[in-house]
Amino acid sequence: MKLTIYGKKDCPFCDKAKLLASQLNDIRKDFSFEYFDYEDEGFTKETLGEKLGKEISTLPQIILDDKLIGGYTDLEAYVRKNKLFARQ
Amino acid sequence: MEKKKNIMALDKNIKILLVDDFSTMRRIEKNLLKEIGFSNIDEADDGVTALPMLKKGNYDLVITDWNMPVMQGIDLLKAIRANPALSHIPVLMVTAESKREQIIAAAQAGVNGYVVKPFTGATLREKLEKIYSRIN
Repeated sequence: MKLTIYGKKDCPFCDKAKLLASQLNDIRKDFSFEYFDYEDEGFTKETLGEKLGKEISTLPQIILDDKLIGGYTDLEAYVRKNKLFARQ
Repeated sequence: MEKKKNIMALDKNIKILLVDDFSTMRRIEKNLLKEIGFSNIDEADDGVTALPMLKKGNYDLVITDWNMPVMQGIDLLKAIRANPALSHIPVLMVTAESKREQIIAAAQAGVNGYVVKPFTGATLREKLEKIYSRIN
């Protein structure tokens, strides 16, 4: 399970996504994540949207194993629904 | 005599017992508690360890995981409510599942709050504010 987060500076939801990812990284042996500042990676929202195959207006954008999950709230819902905090 | 304290809403000095058999999860929850200003926190790795600590420790709040070996969180909650010296202590149940029957069972056993993992410090603060607003 690999999570990729595209975020930006001064973005509370990007920080929340990073924190949740680091918690999952601590809890799960099968989990890893990478965080990218989209501007540092040379993206604009348009070019990032092109890469992700979806027009985007907000950050973070979170991808799990090549599948676009959405933003922080979508990630939290996904983690709950799939019980990723449950004992392995 | 009951040692119930008159706790004002979110008194940051309250003594908290964090119960979870998974030490990583305890660390995560402890960090979240610290983030929202609580630092008087002890830890126990299951209900059996927690009960004697509660009897000796004059705790103001228990935050317990549901799913633990030996003694589950729901059984710890029932033991707390059955003991006149402990029954006043608010209990926040933490779980990875949001099954309706679990929530009902916890409510029937006298839980004060219920939070599904994952959660942020802000969510934890909201849950604690809700608990103490009801108590006060």
